[in-house]
Amino acid sequence: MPEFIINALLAGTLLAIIGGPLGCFVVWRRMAYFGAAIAHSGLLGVALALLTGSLLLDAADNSNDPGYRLGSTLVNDPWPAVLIVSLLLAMGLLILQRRHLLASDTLLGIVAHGSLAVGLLIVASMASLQVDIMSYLFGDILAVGDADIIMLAVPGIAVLALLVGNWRPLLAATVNADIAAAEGINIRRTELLFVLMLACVVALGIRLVGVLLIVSMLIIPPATARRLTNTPVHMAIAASVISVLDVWAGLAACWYFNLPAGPTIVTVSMLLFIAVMLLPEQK
Amino acid sequence: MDNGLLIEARDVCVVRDDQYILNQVSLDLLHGEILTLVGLNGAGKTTLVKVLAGLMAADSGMVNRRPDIRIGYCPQRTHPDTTLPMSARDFLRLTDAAAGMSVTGILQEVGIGDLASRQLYRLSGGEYQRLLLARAMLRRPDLLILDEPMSGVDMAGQSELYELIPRLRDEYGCGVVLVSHDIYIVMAATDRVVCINHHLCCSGQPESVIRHPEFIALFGDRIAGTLAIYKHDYSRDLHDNALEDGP
Repeated sequence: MPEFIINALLAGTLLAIIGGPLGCFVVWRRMAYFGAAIAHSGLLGVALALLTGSLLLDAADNSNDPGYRLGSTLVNDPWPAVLIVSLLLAMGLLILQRRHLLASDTLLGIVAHGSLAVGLLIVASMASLQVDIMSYLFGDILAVGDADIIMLAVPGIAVLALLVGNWRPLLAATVNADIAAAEGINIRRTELLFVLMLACVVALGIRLVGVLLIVSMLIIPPATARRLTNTPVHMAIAASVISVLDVWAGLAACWYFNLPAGPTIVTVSMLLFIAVMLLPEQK
Repeated sequence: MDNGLLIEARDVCVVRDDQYILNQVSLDLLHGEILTLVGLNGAGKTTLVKVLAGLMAADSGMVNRRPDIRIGYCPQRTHPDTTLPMSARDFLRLTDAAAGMSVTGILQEVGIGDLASRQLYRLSGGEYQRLLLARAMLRRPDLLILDEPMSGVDMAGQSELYELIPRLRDEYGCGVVLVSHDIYIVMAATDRVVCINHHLCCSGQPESVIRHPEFIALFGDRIAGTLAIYKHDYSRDLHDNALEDGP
């Protein structure tokens, strides 16, 4: 097997394992649209990184200028900027939601589509940079290199460790925030922690399956797993296993039939969901 | 704080959108006492218990809780979510059981010992209320707060719950705050009734509260009359007119 397929398998498996339990919380807390808003803003993150980077490159006098070095870093690798924008946006959204200025889905819709539109405009206006918009919208898991695996694994495993370590307070706050608060759990802290973990995984996942598809990797496997399980822990583990199978089957299909990877993985995931829904309901 | 005093609230105000949800409410909660909080829908009952439990901050006024107080809180009925698979047993394991308390034991004590592996969304209204009660009792609370525990419970289940609550109070010696918009609960095993309508209307023993003009104005003559009939079954001294007027 060529190395790019091995890297794609590794990166996809990693995202699938983390996405299982995290996605369960997205489903339980009804935060799919929150995740989508962060994902859509990922393109704005890319655009801002490229714009700032190219402005710095233009302004720099020579290649030893620190501005030049920062600029070329931003242009060559916008992903750290995407992560930072996602985390900031997640915190901002949380603050706005707590103020109840607007219905939550309206607020998220404005942020999701507004940031996507502005991101597309900025990218389109930078004619000097050849930006492959499609790879941001639908991901480019086959372009993942060795260094990218590390960049994915380190924050990914940190999120997984935090999720496991805070499992019970997170779950208690999800089931009933008032009871959990009366029992001494800090609800705001738990909520912030969850939203930051979500933003982190979404930002990492955009690279693999794109702005438009990342949320489906977080919600379809848990939705499939729900039908097959009876406890929260089993659902989380099953979601990871199902998601890994989706990634492997999707990548195999895209390899043999020469299909685009991101949409293939999501299609496989959806087909498996439909198949499980057709099973008779367990008692 | 004084012996027996669990929570002391003084002049609590909560304001939302320039409206007083709570206006200068003062209240003491005592150890071992069952206090029933009555009032119409939207009178601020849930807000008041949330402030007392520390789930919500008062905009002004003062709330002193006994240090290290353990509060068992049963919120108003929420519909368990079908997206989350969880059994009654798993639900109880979300909290830290106090020493000597067990999940199986408390389930039996509230009368749903055979439902440990039942999924939450398959529980009836009454079973779910008992489960909430079990979760609160598992921590051996000093104060048990029950917000509308009878909602979604059928008549037979309601009278069983009315018997269960004082039994738990006697066994564990906790204070109880019972929130209800159903004033018939007033005459059940209650030591003290507090009637609020954003401000504190009146408080005292049940038989005196139902004769208070503000209570009659809120709930109507007819209902107060019906309750007065119940009163004859009530074991307390009927001539006790002690009445603590609100501010």
